[in-house]
Amino acid sequence: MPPFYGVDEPPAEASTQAANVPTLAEIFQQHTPFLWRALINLGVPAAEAQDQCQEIMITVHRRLASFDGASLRGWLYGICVRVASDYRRSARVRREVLTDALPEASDSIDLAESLDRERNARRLRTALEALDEPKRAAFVLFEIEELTLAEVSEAVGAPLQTVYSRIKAAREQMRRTFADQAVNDSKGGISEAG
Amino acid sequence: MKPDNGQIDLQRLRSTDAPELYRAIGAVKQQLPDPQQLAALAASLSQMGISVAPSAQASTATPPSATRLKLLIGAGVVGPIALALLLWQSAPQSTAPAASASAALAQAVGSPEESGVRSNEVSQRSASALASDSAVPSPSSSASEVAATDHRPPPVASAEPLKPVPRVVAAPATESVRSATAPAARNANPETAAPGVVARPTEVALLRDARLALNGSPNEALALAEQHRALYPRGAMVQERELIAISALARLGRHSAVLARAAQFERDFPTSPYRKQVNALAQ
Repeated sequence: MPPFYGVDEPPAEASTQAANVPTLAEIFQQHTPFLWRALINLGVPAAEAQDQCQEIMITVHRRLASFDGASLRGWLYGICVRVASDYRRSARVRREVLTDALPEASDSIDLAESLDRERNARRLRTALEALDEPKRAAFVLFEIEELTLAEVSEAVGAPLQTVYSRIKAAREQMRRTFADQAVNDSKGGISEAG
Repeated sequence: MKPDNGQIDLQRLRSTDAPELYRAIGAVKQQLPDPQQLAALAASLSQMGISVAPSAQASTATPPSATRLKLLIGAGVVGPIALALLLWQSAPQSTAPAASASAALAQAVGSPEESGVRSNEVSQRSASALASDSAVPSPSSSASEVAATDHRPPPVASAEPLKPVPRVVAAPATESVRSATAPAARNANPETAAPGVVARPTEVALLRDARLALNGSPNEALALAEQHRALYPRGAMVQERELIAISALARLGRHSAVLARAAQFERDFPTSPYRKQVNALAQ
Protein backbone atom coordinates (compact mmCIF):
# COMPACT_ATOMS: atom_id res chain seq x y z
CA MET A 1 0.00 0.00 0.00
CA PRO A 2 1.22 3.47 -0.73
CA PRO A 3 1.84 5.42 2.46
CA PHE A 4 -0.63 8.18 1.64
CA TYR A 5 -2.67 9.59 -1.15
CA GLY A 6 -1.95 13.17 -1.93
CA VAL A 7 -4.98 15.29 -2.70
CA ASP A 8 -4.03 15.87 -6.27
CA GLU A 9 -2.71 12.42 -6.95
CA PRO A 10 -4.03 10.58 -9.98
CA PRO A 11 -6.56 7.82 -9.32
CA ALA A 12 -5.03 4.72 -7.80
CA GLU A 13 -5.69 2.38 -10.70
CA ALA A 14 -3.40 4.36 -12.94
CA SER A 15 -0.38 4.09 -10.69
CA THR A 16 1.38 0.86 -9.96
CA GLN A 17 4.76 2.06 -11.09
CA ALA A 18 3.59 4.51 -13.67
CA ALA A 19 4.92 7.60 -11.97
CA ASN A 20 8.25 7.74 -13.76
CA VAL A 21 7.46 5.58 -16.76
CA PRO A 22 6.04 7.94 -19.32
CA THR A 23 3.81 6.94 -22.19
CA LEU A 24 5.06 6.60 -25.71
CA ALA A 25 3.13 9.71 -26.66
CA GLU A 26 4.84 11.72 -23.94
CA ILE A 27 8.21 10.49 -25.03
CA PHE A 28 7.41 11.34 -28.59
CA GLN A 29 6.33 14.83 -27.72
CA GLN A 30 9.09 15.68 -25.34
CA HIS A 31 12.11 13.93 -26.73
CA THR A 32 11.79 13.17 -30.42
CA PRO A 33 12.99 16.54 -31.69
CA PHE A 34 16.14 16.21 -29.64
CA LEU A 35 16.75 12.60 -30.51
CA TRP A 36 16.36 13.63 -34.13
CA ARG A 37 18.96 16.33 -33.71
CA ALA A 38 21.27 13.96 -31.90
CA LEU A 39 21.03 11.41 -34.71
CA ILE A 40 22.22 13.99 -37.18
CA ASN A 41 25.08 15.05 -34.97
CA LEU A 42 25.97 11.42 -34.49
CA GLY A 43 26.45 11.15 -38.21
CA VAL A 44 23.11 10.15 -39.70
CA PRO A 45 22.48 12.24 -42.82
CA ALA A 46 19.57 14.63 -42.43
CA ALA A 47 17.71 12.89 -45.23
CA GLU A 48 17.76 9.66 -43.24
CA ALA A 49 17.04 11.17 -39.86
CA GLN A 50 13.32 10.57 -40.01
CA ASP A 51 13.84 6.93 -40.84
CA GLN A 52 16.31 6.39 -38.09
CA CYS A 53 14.23 8.34 -35.63
CA GLN A 54 11.46 5.95 -36.48
CA GLU A 55 13.83 3.16 -35.69
CA ILE A 56 14.37 4.68 -32.27
CA MET A 57 10.67 5.00 -31.59
CA ILE A 58 10.05 1.42 -32.67
CA THR A 59 12.65 0.25 -30.19
CA VAL A 60 11.25 2.48 -27.48
CA HIS A 61 7.83 1.09 -28.19
CA ARG A 62 9.08 -2.46 -27.88
CA ARG A 63 11.15 -1.96 -24.79
CA LEU A 64 9.27 0.65 -22.85
CA ALA A 65 7.64 -2.00 -20.72
CA SER A 66 11.02 -3.18 -19.54
CA PHE A 67 12.37 0.29 -18.85
CA ASP A 68 13.35 0.43 -15.21
CA GLY A 69 12.35 4.02 -14.72
CA ALA A 70 15.76 5.17 -13.59
CA SER A 71 17.03 7.63 -16.16
CA LEU A 72 14.77 8.14 -19.10
CA ARG A 73 17.12 10.38 -21.01
CA GLY A 74 20.03 8.06 -20.51
CA TRP A 75 17.92 5.20 -21.74
CA LEU A 76 16.52 7.04 -24.75
CA TYR A 77 19.84 8.41 -25.86
CA GLY A 78 21.34 4.98 -25.41
CA ILE A 79 18.91 3.72 -28.03
CA CYS A 80 19.69 6.73 -30.16
CA VAL A 81 23.42 6.08 -30.04
CA ARG A 82 22.95 2.45 -31.00
CA VAL A 83 20.63 3.26 -33.86
CA ALA A 84 23.06 5.84 -35.20
CA SER A 85 25.92 3.43 -34.84
CA ASP A 86 24.04 0.62 -36.57
CA TYR A 87 23.10 2.98 -39.30
CA ARG A 88 26.64 4.10 -39.86
CA ARG A 89 27.89 0.57 -39.92
CA SER A 90 25.33 -0.55 -42.45
CA ALA A 91 25.89 2.60 -44.45
CA ARG A 92 29.61 2.06 -44.52
CA VAL A 93 29.11 -1.28 -46.15
CA ARG A 94 26.95 0.32 -48.75
CA ARG A 95 29.03 3.39 -49.39
CA GLU A 96 30.63 6.03 -47.32
CA VAL A 97 28.39 8.29 -45.35
CA LEU A 98 28.03 11.62 -46.97
CA THR A 99 27.81 14.59 -44.73
CA ASP A 100 24.93 16.10 -46.50
CA ALA A 101 23.98 19.69 -46.98
CA LEU A 102 22.62 21.42 -43.95
CA PRO A 103 18.93 22.20 -43.94
CA GLU A 104 18.15 25.52 -45.53
CA ALA A 105 18.45 28.31 -43.05
CA SER A 106 15.02 29.15 -41.73
CA ASP A 107 13.50 32.18 -43.38
CA SER A 108 16.15 34.81 -43.68
CA ILE A 109 16.55 36.46 -40.33
CA ASP A 110 19.70 38.13 -41.28
CA LEU A 111 21.63 36.75 -44.17
CA ALA A 112 25.05 37.37 -42.75
CA GLU A 113 24.10 35.89 -39.45
CA SER A 114 22.55 32.82 -40.99
CA LEU A 115 25.53 32.32 -43.27
CA ASP A 116 27.77 32.57 -40.29
CA ARG A 117 25.69 30.10 -38.37
CA GLU A 118 25.60 27.75 -41.29
CA ARG A 119 29.32 27.89 -41.68
CA ASN A 120 29.79 27.28 -38.00
CA ALA A 121 27.45 24.33 -38.08
CA ARG A 122 29.26 22.93 -41.08
CA ARG A 123 32.58 23.24 -39.34
CA LEU A 124 31.20 21.56 -36.32
CA ARG A 125 29.86 18.71 -38.43
CA THR A 126 33.23 18.26 -40.07
CA ALA A 127 35.01 18.32 -36.75
CA LEU A 128 32.59 15.77 -35.35
CA GLU A 129 33.25 13.53 -38.32
CA ALA A 130 36.88 13.50 -37.34
CA LEU A 131 36.16 12.06 -33.89
CA ASP A 132 36.02 8.37 -33.31
CA GLU A 133 32.60 7.00 -32.48
CA PRO A 134 32.82 6.76 -28.68
CA LYS A 135 34.26 10.23 -28.33
CA ARG A 136 31.74 11.63 -30.70
CA ALA A 137 28.85 10.13 -28.81
CA ALA A 138 30.15 11.39 -25.48
CA PHE A 139 30.72 14.86 -26.86
CA VAL A 140 27.38 15.13 -28.64
CA LEU A 141 25.40 13.90 -25.66
CA PHE A 142 27.18 16.05 -23.14
CA GLU A 143 27.79 19.29 -25.00
CA ILE A 144 24.92 19.45 -27.46
CA GLU A 145 22.22 17.40 -25.83
CA GLU A 146 23.23 18.57 -22.38
CA LEU A 147 22.90 15.26 -20.65
CA THR A 148 24.50 14.87 -17.27
CA LEU A 149 27.66 12.82 -16.98
CA ALA A 150 25.65 10.05 -15.37
CA GLU A 151 23.15 10.05 -18.20
CA VAL A 152 25.87 9.93 -20.80
CA SER A 153 27.46 7.10 -18.91
CA GLU A 154 24.22 5.16 -18.99
CA ALA A 155 23.58 5.97 -22.64
CA VAL A 156 26.93 4.81 -23.89
CA GLY A 157 27.29 2.03 -21.36
CA ALA A 158 30.65 3.13 -20.06
CA PRO A 159 31.83 4.12 -16.59
CA LEU A 160 31.71 7.76 -15.55
CA GLN A 161 35.45 8.07 -15.54
CA THR A 162 35.70 6.80 -19.09
CA VAL A 163 32.99 9.14 -20.26
CA TYR A 164 34.72 11.98 -18.52
CA SER A 165 37.98 11.42 -20.31
CA ARG A 166 36.27 10.87 -23.63
CA ILE A 167 34.56 14.21 -23.36
CA LYS A 168 37.77 15.93 -22.38
CA ALA A 169 39.66 14.34 -25.24
CA ALA A 170 36.88 15.06 -27.71
CA ARG A 171 36.78 18.68 -26.69
CA GLU A 172 40.47 19.07 -27.13
CA GLN A 173 40.37 17.47 -30.55
CA MET A 174 37.33 19.47 -31.57
CA ARG A 175 38.95 22.67 -30.54
CA ARG A 176 41.99 21.91 -32.63
CA THR A 177 40.17 20.79 -35.77
CA PHE A 178 37.88 23.70 -35.37
CA ALA A 179 40.67 26.20 -35.21
CA ASP A 180 42.36 24.58 -38.21
CA GLN A 181 39.19 24.83 -40.21
CA ALA A 182 38.73 28.43 -39.26
CA VAL A 183 42.19 29.15 -40.59
CA ASN A 184 41.50 27.25 -43.80
CA ASP A 185 38.18 28.94 -44.32
CA SER A 186 39.57 32.40 -43.92
CA LYS A 187 42.39 31.60 -46.31
CA GLY A 188 40.37 30.43 -49.23
CA GLY A 189 36.71 30.40 -48.43
CA ILE A 190 35.61 33.98 -48.89
CA SER A 191 34.52 33.47 -52.49
CA GLU A 192 30.89 33.92 -51.53
CA ALA A 193 31.56 37.51 -50.53
CA GLY A 194 32.77 38.56 -54.00
CA MET B 1 21.27 14.65 -10.13
CA LYS B 2 24.68 13.93 -8.76
CA PRO B 3 26.68 11.05 -10.11
CA ASP B 4 27.43 8.15 -7.80
CA ASN B 5 31.02 9.02 -7.80
CA GLY B 6 30.98 12.43 -6.17
CA GLN B 7 34.36 13.71 -7.23
CA ILE B 8 33.80 13.27 -10.96
CA ASP B 9 32.23 16.38 -12.26
CA LEU B 10 32.56 18.28 -15.47
CA GLN B 11 31.46 21.71 -16.56
CA ARG B 12 30.08 22.12 -20.01
CA LEU B 13 32.20 23.97 -22.47
CA ARG B 14 32.20 27.69 -21.83
CA SER B 15 32.46 30.42 -24.40
CA THR B 16 35.76 31.48 -22.92
CA ASP B 17 37.22 28.02 -23.52
CA ALA B 18 36.73 28.09 -27.27
CA PRO B 19 34.47 30.88 -28.51
CA GLU B 20 34.01 29.61 -32.05
CA LEU B 21 33.35 26.08 -31.02
CA TYR B 22 30.97 27.32 -28.38
CA ARG B 23 29.04 29.34 -30.91
CA ALA B 24 28.92 26.46 -33.35
CA ILE B 25 27.45 24.24 -30.69
CA GLY B 26 24.88 26.91 -30.01
CA ALA B 27 23.99 27.00 -33.69
CA VAL B 28 23.67 23.27 -33.97
CA LYS B 29 21.40 23.15 -30.95
CA GLN B 30 18.89 25.19 -32.85
CA GLN B 31 18.64 22.72 -35.66
CA LEU B 32 15.58 20.81 -34.65
CA PRO B 33 13.19 19.08 -37.02
CA ASP B 34 10.23 21.17 -38.05
CA PRO B 35 6.66 20.22 -37.12
CA GLN B 36 5.99 18.82 -40.56
CA GLN B 37 8.83 16.38 -40.26
CA LEU B 38 7.66 15.30 -36.85
CA ALA B 39 4.15 14.90 -38.15
CA ALA B 40 5.42 12.74 -40.99
CA LEU B 41 7.25 10.62 -38.46
CA ALA B 42 4.16 10.32 -36.30
CA ALA B 43 2.13 9.32 -39.33
CA SER B 44 4.55 6.67 -40.48
CA LEU B 45 4.79 5.30 -36.96
CA SER B 46 1.07 5.03 -36.76
CA GLN B 47 1.10 3.21 -40.05
CA MET B 48 3.14 0.59 -38.30
CA GLY B 49 0.57 0.41 -35.58
CA ILE B 50 2.55 2.50 -33.15
CA SER B 51 0.44 5.32 -31.92
CA VAL B 52 2.21 8.35 -30.56
CA ALA B 53 -0.92 10.42 -30.34
CA PRO B 54 -1.38 12.07 -26.97
CA SER B 55 -3.36 10.27 -24.27
CA ALA B 56 -4.06 7.12 -26.21
CA GLN B 57 -4.76 5.14 -23.08
CA ALA B 58 -7.51 7.50 -22.02
CA SER B 59 -9.79 5.69 -24.42
CA THR B 60 -11.34 3.55 -21.72
CA ALA B 61 -12.75 6.51 -19.86
CA THR B 62 -14.96 9.00 -21.61
CA PRO B 63 -12.49 11.60 -22.68
CA PRO B 64 -13.30 15.28 -22.78
CA SER B 65 -13.97 16.50 -26.26
CA ALA B 66 -10.52 17.96 -26.79
CA THR B 67 -8.93 14.67 -25.85
CA ARG B 68 -11.36 12.83 -28.01
CA LEU B 69 -10.43 14.97 -30.92
CA LYS B 70 -6.76 14.28 -30.42
CA LEU B 71 -7.55 10.64 -30.06
CA LEU B 72 -9.45 10.64 -33.30
CA ILE B 73 -6.64 12.44 -35.00
CA GLY B 74 -4.23 9.86 -33.72
CA ALA B 75 -6.27 6.77 -34.41
CA GLY B 76 -7.76 8.18 -37.55
CA VAL B 77 -4.63 9.40 -39.17
CA VAL B 78 -3.78 6.07 -40.72
CA GLY B 79 -7.19 4.90 -41.80
CA PRO B 80 -8.17 7.93 -43.77
CA ILE B 81 -4.76 8.29 -45.34
CA ALA B 82 -4.72 4.67 -46.35
CA LEU B 83 -8.22 5.02 -47.62
CA ALA B 84 -7.33 8.20 -49.41
CA LEU B 85 -4.52 6.40 -51.15
CA LEU B 86 -6.94 3.69 -52.10
CA LEU B 87 -9.43 6.16 -53.46
CA TRP B 88 -6.68 7.93 -55.20
CA GLN B 89 -5.52 4.89 -57.00
CA SER B 90 -8.81 3.25 -57.75
CA ALA B 91 -10.69 6.37 -58.71
CA PRO B 92 -8.34 9.07 -59.91
CA GLN B 93 -11.16 11.27 -61.09
CA SER B 94 -12.33 11.72 -57.54
CA THR B 95 -9.15 13.54 -56.66
CA ALA B 96 -9.97 16.46 -58.89
CA PRO B 97 -12.17 18.30 -56.39
CA ALA B 98 -9.81 17.35 -53.60
CA ALA B 99 -6.95 18.78 -55.55
CA SER B 100 -8.72 22.05 -56.08
CA ALA B 101 -9.62 22.15 -52.42
CA SER B 102 -6.02 21.52 -51.60
CA ALA B 103 -4.91 24.29 -53.89
CA ALA B 104 -7.16 26.66 -51.99
CA LEU B 105 -5.78 25.39 -48.75
CA ALA B 106 -2.25 25.70 -49.95
CA GLN B 107 -2.94 29.30 -50.74
CA ALA B 108 -4.44 29.88 -47.35
CA VAL B 109 -1.45 28.25 -45.75
CA GLY B 110 0.82 30.61 -47.61
CA SER B 111 4.49 30.61 -48.54
CA PRO B 112 4.45 29.80 -52.26
CA GLU B 113 7.90 28.28 -52.27
CA GLU B 114 6.76 25.60 -49.91
CA SER B 115 3.49 24.90 -51.56
CA GLY B 116 5.09 22.31 -53.79
CA VAL B 117 5.80 20.14 -50.83
CA ARG B 118 2.81 21.19 -48.85
CA SER B 119 0.21 20.65 -51.50
CA ASN B 120 1.17 17.01 -51.64
CA GLU B 121 0.36 16.52 -48.04
CA VAL B 122 -2.56 18.79 -48.26
CA SER B 123 -4.15 17.03 -51.16
CA GLN B 124 -3.73 13.82 -49.29
CA ARG B 125 -5.36 15.41 -46.33
CA SER B 126 -8.29 16.76 -48.19
CA ALA B 127 -8.66 13.55 -50.08
CA SER B 128 -8.89 11.78 -46.79
CA ALA B 129 -11.32 14.39 -45.62
CA LEU B 130 -13.58 12.77 -48.19
CA ALA B 131 -13.63 9.74 -46.02
CA SER B 132 -14.17 11.54 -42.80
CA ASP B 133 -17.43 11.90 -41.04
CA SER B 134 -18.25 15.56 -41.31
CA ALA B 135 -19.05 15.70 -37.60
CA VAL B 136 -15.39 15.20 -36.91
CA PRO B 137 -13.41 18.25 -37.75
CA SER B 138 -10.76 17.00 -40.10
CA PRO B 139 -9.25 13.95 -38.45
CA SER B 140 -7.04 13.75 -41.48
CA SER B 141 -5.12 16.76 -40.36
CA SER B 142 -1.96 15.34 -38.98
CA ALA B 143 0.02 16.37 -35.97
CA SER B 144 1.72 19.14 -37.88
CA GLU B 145 -1.48 21.04 -37.80
CA VAL B 146 -1.92 20.33 -34.17
CA ALA B 147 1.55 21.59 -33.57
CA ALA B 148 1.13 24.63 -35.75
CA THR B 149 -2.28 25.62 -34.59
CA ASP B 150 -2.10 29.04 -36.18
CA HIS B 151 -3.52 27.97 -39.53
CA ARG B 152 -6.10 25.36 -38.94
CA PRO B 153 -9.56 26.24 -40.11
CA PRO B 154 -9.35 25.85 -43.92
CA PRO B 155 -9.49 22.05 -44.37
CA VAL B 156 -12.97 21.59 -43.00
CA ALA B 157 -14.41 24.50 -44.87
CA SER B 158 -12.85 23.57 -48.16
CA ALA B 159 -13.70 19.92 -47.83
CA GLU B 160 -17.28 20.53 -46.84
CA PRO B 161 -18.84 20.87 -50.28
CA LEU B 162 -17.50 17.44 -51.14
CA LYS B 163 -19.84 14.64 -50.47
CA PRO B 164 -18.56 12.60 -47.57
CA VAL B 165 -18.14 8.92 -48.23
CA PRO B 166 -20.19 6.83 -45.81
CA ARG B 167 -18.27 6.15 -42.66
CA VAL B 168 -18.57 2.41 -43.05
CA VAL B 169 -15.98 2.54 -45.75
CA ALA B 170 -13.42 4.02 -43.42
CA ALA B 171 -13.95 1.46 -40.72
CA PRO B 172 -12.17 -1.58 -42.19
CA ALA B 173 -9.01 0.34 -42.91
CA THR B 174 -8.77 1.61 -39.37
CA GLU B 175 -9.71 -1.77 -38.07
CA SER B 176 -6.97 -3.55 -39.91
CA VAL B 177 -4.50 -1.09 -38.53
CA ARG B 178 -5.78 -1.65 -35.05
CA SER B 179 -5.56 -5.39 -35.26
CA ALA B 180 -2.08 -5.11 -36.64
CA THR B 181 -0.96 -3.28 -33.54
CA ALA B 182 -1.83 -6.27 -31.42
CA PRO B 183 1.40 -8.26 -31.53
CA ALA B 184 3.66 -5.32 -30.95
CA ALA B 185 1.48 -3.39 -28.59
CA ARG B 186 2.50 -2.72 -25.07
CA ASN B 187 0.54 -4.44 -22.35
CA ALA B 188 -1.20 -1.15 -21.68
CA ASN B 189 -3.51 -1.79 -24.59
CA PRO B 190 -6.53 -3.71 -23.34
CA GLU B 191 -8.44 -4.10 -26.58
CA THR B 192 -5.74 -6.13 -28.27
CA ALA B 193 -6.00 -9.11 -25.96
CA ALA B 194 -8.09 -11.23 -28.31
CA PRO B 195 -5.80 -13.32 -30.47
CA GLY B 196 -7.15 -13.05 -33.99
CA VAL B 197 -6.76 -16.00 -36.31
CA VAL B 198 -5.02 -14.30 -39.15
CA ALA B 199 -4.46 -16.46 -42.18
CA ARG B 200 -2.36 -13.98 -44.05
CA PRO B 201 -0.46 -11.07 -42.63
CA THR B 202 -2.10 -7.70 -42.87
CA GLU B 203 -0.54 -5.04 -45.00
CA VAL B 204 0.44 -3.11 -41.96
CA ALA B 205 2.02 -6.11 -40.26
CA LEU B 206 4.00 -7.03 -43.34
CA LEU B 207 5.32 -3.57 -43.84
CA ARG B 208 6.04 -3.10 -40.18
CA ASP B 209 8.13 -6.24 -40.18
CA ALA B 210 9.81 -5.16 -43.36
CA ARG B 211 10.56 -1.82 -41.82
CA LEU B 212 11.95 -3.45 -38.70
CA ALA B 213 14.20 -5.66 -40.76
CA LEU B 214 15.50 -2.80 -42.83
CA ASN B 215 18.53 -1.91 -40.78
CA GLY B 216 19.54 -5.33 -39.64
CA SER B 217 18.82 -7.42 -42.68
CA PRO B 218 17.79 -5.49 -45.74
CA ASN B 219 17.47 -8.76 -47.63
CA GLU B 220 14.65 -9.80 -45.40
CA ALA B 221 13.06 -6.39 -45.67
CA LEU B 222 13.16 -6.69 -49.42
CA ALA B 223 11.64 -10.15 -49.30
CA LEU B 224 8.83 -8.92 -47.09
CA ALA B 225 8.21 -6.01 -49.39
CA GLU B 226 7.99 -8.43 -52.28
CA GLN B 227 5.60 -10.54 -50.31
CA HIS B 228 3.51 -7.46 -49.81
CA ARG B 229 3.60 -6.84 -53.51
CA ALA B 230 2.39 -10.37 -54.18
CA LEU B 231 -0.38 -10.28 -51.59
CA TYR B 232 -1.49 -6.71 -52.03
CA PRO B 233 -0.63 -5.61 -55.54
CA ARG B 234 -3.15 -2.82 -55.27
CA GLY B 235 -2.94 -2.38 -51.55
CA ALA B 236 -3.42 0.78 -49.61
CA MET B 237 0.23 1.08 -48.73
CA VAL B 238 1.93 0.65 -52.03
CA GLN B 239 3.89 3.83 -51.59
CA GLU B 240 5.16 2.78 -48.20
CA ARG B 241 6.14 -0.60 -49.56
CA GLU B 242 8.03 0.94 -52.42
CA LEU B 243 9.84 3.27 -50.07
CA ILE B 244 10.88 0.33 -47.93
CA ALA B 245 11.92 -1.72 -50.92
CA ILE B 246 13.98 1.11 -52.33
CA SER B 247 15.60 1.71 -48.95
CA ALA B 248 16.43 -1.98 -48.73
CA LEU B 249 17.95 -1.99 -52.19
CA ALA B 250 19.98 1.06 -51.31
CA ARG B 251 21.26 -0.63 -48.19
CA LEU B 252 22.20 -3.64 -50.26
CA GLY B 253 24.14 -1.40 -52.58
CA ARG B 254 22.04 -2.37 -55.59
CA HIS B 255 22.22 1.02 -57.04
CA SER B 256 20.83 0.40 -60.50
CA ALA B 257 17.82 -1.33 -58.99
CA VAL B 258 17.34 1.66 -56.73
CA LEU B 259 17.41 4.00 -59.68
CA ALA B 260 14.99 1.94 -61.71
CA ARG B 261 12.55 1.55 -58.90
CA ALA B 262 12.82 5.16 -57.83
CA ALA B 263 12.09 6.24 -61.38
CA GLN B 264 9.07 3.98 -61.44
CA PHE B 265 7.95 5.44 -58.12
CA GLU B 266 8.28 8.91 -59.55
CA ARG B 267 6.08 7.92 -62.48
CA ASP B 268 3.47 6.17 -60.39
CA PHE B 269 3.25 8.66 -57.57
CA PRO B 270 4.41 12.01 -58.84
CA THR B 271 2.81 13.81 -55.91
CA SER B 272 3.75 11.36 -53.20
CA PRO B 273 4.78 12.76 -49.85
CA TYR B 274 7.63 10.24 -49.94
CA ARG B 275 9.06 11.59 -53.13
CA LYS B 276 11.74 13.55 -51.39
CA GLN B 277 12.93 10.51 -49.49
CA VAL B 278 12.92 8.37 -52.59
CA ASN B 279 14.89 10.97 -54.48
CA ALA B 280 17.39 11.17 -51.68
CA LEU B 281 17.86 7.42 -51.82
CA ALA B 282 18.32 7.52 -55.56
CA GLN B 283 21.21 9.93 -55.37
